[in-house]
Amino acid sequence: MILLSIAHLTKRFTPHDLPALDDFSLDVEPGEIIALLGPSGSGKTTALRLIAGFEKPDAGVVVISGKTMADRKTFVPPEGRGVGMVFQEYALFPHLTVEENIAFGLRTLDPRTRVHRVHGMLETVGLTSFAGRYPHELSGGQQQRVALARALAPRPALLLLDEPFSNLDADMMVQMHLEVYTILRELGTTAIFVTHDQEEAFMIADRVGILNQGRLEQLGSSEEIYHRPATRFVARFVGKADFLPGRVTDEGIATEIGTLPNTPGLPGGTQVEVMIRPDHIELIPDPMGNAMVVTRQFRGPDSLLVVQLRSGATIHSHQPSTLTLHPGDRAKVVARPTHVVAFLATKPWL
Amino acid sequence: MRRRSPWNVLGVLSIAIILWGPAALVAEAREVREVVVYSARIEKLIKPMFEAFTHRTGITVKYFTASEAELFERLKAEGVHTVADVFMTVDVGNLWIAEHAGLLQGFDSPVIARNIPPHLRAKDNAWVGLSVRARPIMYSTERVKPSELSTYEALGDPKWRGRLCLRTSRKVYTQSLVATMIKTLGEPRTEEVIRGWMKNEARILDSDTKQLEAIAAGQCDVTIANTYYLARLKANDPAFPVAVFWPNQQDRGVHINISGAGVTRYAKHRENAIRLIEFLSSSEAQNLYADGNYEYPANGGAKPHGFIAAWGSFKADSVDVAAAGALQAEAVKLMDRVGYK
Amino acid sequence: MPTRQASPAVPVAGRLTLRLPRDPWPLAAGAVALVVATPILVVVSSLVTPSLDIWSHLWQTQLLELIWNTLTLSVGVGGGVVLLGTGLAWLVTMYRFPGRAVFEWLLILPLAVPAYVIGFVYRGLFDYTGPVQSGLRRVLGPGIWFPDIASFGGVVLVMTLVFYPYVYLLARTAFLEQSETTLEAARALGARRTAVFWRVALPLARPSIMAGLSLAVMEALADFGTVAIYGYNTFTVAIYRVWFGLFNRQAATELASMLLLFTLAIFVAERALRGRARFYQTERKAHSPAPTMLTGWRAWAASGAAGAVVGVSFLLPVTQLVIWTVTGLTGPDFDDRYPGFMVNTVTLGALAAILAVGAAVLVAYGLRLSRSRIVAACARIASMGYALPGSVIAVGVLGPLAFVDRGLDALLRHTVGISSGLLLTGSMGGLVFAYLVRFLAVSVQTVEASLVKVTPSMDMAGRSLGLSPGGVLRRIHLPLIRGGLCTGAILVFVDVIKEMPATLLLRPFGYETLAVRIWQFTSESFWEAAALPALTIVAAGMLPVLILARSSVRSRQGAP
Repeated sequence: MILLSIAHLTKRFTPHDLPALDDFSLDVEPGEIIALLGPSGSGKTTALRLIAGFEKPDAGVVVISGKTMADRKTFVPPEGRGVGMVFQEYALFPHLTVEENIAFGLRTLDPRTRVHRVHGMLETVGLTSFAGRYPHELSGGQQQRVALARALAPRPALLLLDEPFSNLDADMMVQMHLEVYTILRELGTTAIFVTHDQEEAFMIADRVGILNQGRLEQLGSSEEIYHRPATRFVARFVGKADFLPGRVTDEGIATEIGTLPNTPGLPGGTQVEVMIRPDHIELIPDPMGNAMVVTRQFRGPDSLLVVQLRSGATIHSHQPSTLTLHPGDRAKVVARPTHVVAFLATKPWL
Repeated sequence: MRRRSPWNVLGVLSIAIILWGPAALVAEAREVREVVVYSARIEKLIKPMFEAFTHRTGITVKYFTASEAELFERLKAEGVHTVADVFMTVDVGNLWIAEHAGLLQGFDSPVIARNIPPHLRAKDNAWVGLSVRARPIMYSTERVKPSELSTYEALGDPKWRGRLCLRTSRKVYTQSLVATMIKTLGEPRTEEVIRGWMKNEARILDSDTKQLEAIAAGQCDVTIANTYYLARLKANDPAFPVAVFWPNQQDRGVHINISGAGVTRYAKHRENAIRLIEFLSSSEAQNLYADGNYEYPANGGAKPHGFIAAWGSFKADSVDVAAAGALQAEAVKLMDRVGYK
Repeated sequence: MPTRQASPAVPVAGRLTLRLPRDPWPLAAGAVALVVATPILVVVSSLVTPSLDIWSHLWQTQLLELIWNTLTLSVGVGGGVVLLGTGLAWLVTMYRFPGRAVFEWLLILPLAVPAYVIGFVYRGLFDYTGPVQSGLRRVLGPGIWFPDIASFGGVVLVMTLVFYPYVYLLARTAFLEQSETTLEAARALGARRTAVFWRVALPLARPSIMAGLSLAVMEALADFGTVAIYGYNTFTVAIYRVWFGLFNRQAATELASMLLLFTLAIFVAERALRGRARFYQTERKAHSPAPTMLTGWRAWAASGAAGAVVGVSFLLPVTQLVIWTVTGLTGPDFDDRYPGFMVNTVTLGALAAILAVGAAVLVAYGLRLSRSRIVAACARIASMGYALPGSVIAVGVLGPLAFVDRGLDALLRHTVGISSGLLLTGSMGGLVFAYLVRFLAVSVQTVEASLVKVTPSMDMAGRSLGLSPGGVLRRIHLPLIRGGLCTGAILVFVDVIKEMPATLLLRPFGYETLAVRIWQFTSESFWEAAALPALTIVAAGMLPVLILARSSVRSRQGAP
């Protein structure tokens, strides 16, 4: 059974401008972890709040575990939805201890089960010895774990997380990514989390949804998103992408850097723009080469180079740092794409 | 940038405070032709007679009003440097205590001796009564016949159960009444009387006017109140259904109290003060003093206001009014013991 | 913040070392606090030589009853103002209903009316002889029962209506400053609206509510006018009885010290109950909670409730005052000295307000910078004047002032041969000082509450950008605490213009104010004549109260 079903969810905050969320649809299987990824203002937090019930949709339906939570006629408030939420700033109750915070949503349980559950959660997040502390006595990472424990204690069908790692420093973040992932898997909780960090999304989520200006541009696995982006926006958002004009011929797609296989199967003569990722481009030092190095960004284990082609277009290339090419050197560009992604050309080049 | 040191702030604050202080007093130059009165009697009632005094003698009267105990504290604190020449109150208690605290001085005056009877002033004129307020029984004309009333003590009779309203023991009028009863009847008998009143479930009210209105509205039938409050109500509404009964006419008489004045010990204008009090004791001024508030003049020669004169003459308690002050503390303690709120 | 250099330690009596501070702020604050605390200490010192005969008399007659009455009054009024003030604050913050924007500030207006005025208006309206009962009797017959207003219930009702704005104001600010996400977190955990209020919003607002509650209860304890009118015997009534009835000022001040100890006990109990819990958000400030729109009968019920409170606590008494004024306007009181009275009243209020806020800033900064126990103790003692009746403070002030005057006079006569007479006694300075002693609590509370917003990192940021400590005060702190300063000044101003007993006793010769006028009339039962000065005080107080109300409404948008 589908755990969460969202259909054509739309929300407008101001009547004249673009909607914050437009025609958003999503089905989530039990146990899945979904990431909603996008720049600020893309509507991802709005989507989360609509699912939780903190906002009322202007159109669309939200169904959780088969029960309709929001549609034209019904609206179930957050306290009735059984959806857990972890907030960006944790929102722990400062006047309650860690234990009391975690026990907050367990009013309906009998005392013995409650105590058992709280201790279980404390163990799961590794904070058993902090049970009697107050939130202001904990570090950031500890507070986040309490927030997670508190949200999970009532065993919600669905857990929503709003940029939960953005307040942590880099080391903490990495550690917490792993911990949260492990806990979610262990408990089998279905989760949707919102982030602007692409690496995080790819690492934790089963499926990733990319939002742009209120619209869901693509929903799929990390590989799909990365290697087969549905739109230019998605392509650029999840990694470096360059676009080169090309034309479909009998041999394939002819571009400045060579002919690429016509994997999309486009009809001959179509003018396209081919997406090039830095890891598709190999550079061979060649004083007669078709490209000149413009900049080189040394990153430790590898370097990112920007080269300019004869036509003036620039593309990125991801090279091991053992390759010694510097700005001003000439090189030969060899394209070795794993997938060929082509978009119809927006402007004619011939 | 100047450093905002707290000493600067403190300095400014202290200078501000000190500067204001003398400013008020500097204006009060010590003139000869003036007299300063600390009065607990409110402005409305004293202004006319002070103006008459000034008109007659050319001496300016400056006055400061506050409640009696507060004036007392102030006089005490000011000590030698006080600006007050005359201390005027609406009850003898505070005059008596001022006398005993050494804040007043006596003076010889044949005028006073002539005008004011001895039981209404201190022996050495440390304080002089200027008007008399009587505190008789008042009753509902609709539900009570005068023949049913006799004395204050008789109000403890069971027939008055639930029909009696009394002023709170907090007010000095009640305290003076009980004090003079202690003086005349002795403490045990007085305690018996008060217990009798309390047994009648006397309704305790905090204003004489309210007591009288309560009678008119039917909440009670009898009470003990000052004459001038009824006079005010009757002047407003001649048909007000409450009348005066003069109790204890067969024995000691109706309880009275005085409002009066005394010359302060450190008065700067002693002669003017004496002249003022003498003026206020004269028949001419007595009417100005008393009539404004429907009180009886202390000067036997002056006629009371026609309105209250219509209530007839009565035998007034001739006990030394000083007793009201001397025994006030006993009276309060007695009322506490009995539970008279 | 001035840097703290190592200061020389002076050994005094063995192990006790006296550190001489290089830092003047705590010393200045301590000095101010001590000066203001002196009259209170004078009052308490009367316990050193107790008047045992008076105490034994009281014990035999009414002491237990007094204690009981005072306790029940505190509990009754405390409960009433918390219920009314908190409930209204929640209603106005979390919901939208017709007229809410107007009610939000109207509900603060009772602050402008003196408690004893509302007391005597209500007594006049609702007692046996008043228009309400008389009318009922006319319509329904003489046997009709009506609750007696001169009772415990009546006093508690009147005081609740007069003092709830303290709790309302502070609770409202607390609710506005709560983070919406904390409340949403509670909802996401399954708590319904009422549960969110009881389990999260209310506990988090507790410090503010307690602050408002303590102001209200202290006012109730210090009040004499209202309890006297209603015949309710509290400690304050006993103070007056012993003082004026038994002519024993010493014993009266001893009773007053008991009142202080009672207040202290309440403070200590509340602090102890708090424990280690904190009540403010540790994370970044999120936005204020968004109000929910009420519809249908709920909306009208909300408007009705708010309107009823405004009507009963403000409109009704003011209307009665207006009626009395208009019918009595032909009387002799209204004369050309009135503008002078108003100017005097407002001058005193403004002077006291400015000094109270200045002193509060000194004390609050001293506390913040020094953390010295002594300074803290002095500051707490200085704030306790709020619980004492005005006359007791006046007497407590009079003693030291007279002492200083006599000393100064003697000194000058010995050295330069002139007598200084009375400089402080009966001066405006003495009176304003008494106001300070009485009302410092109000300004210190508000200034301290705003200082909490200023974090040490702001100070450090300012210094690193080149500001001197004075510059930090001027350019960083002052703008941030300006709101708190204004609130404090306004509350003190309104309290001063309403104050009566201390003004009567200590005012300069020839200096008449509106409160003095009211006393003139009420002392001789000329109630209607007192309506005009009472109304003028209300009018004078309304403008600052409205300013306070508007500025606190604007704080909803997140401005400091």
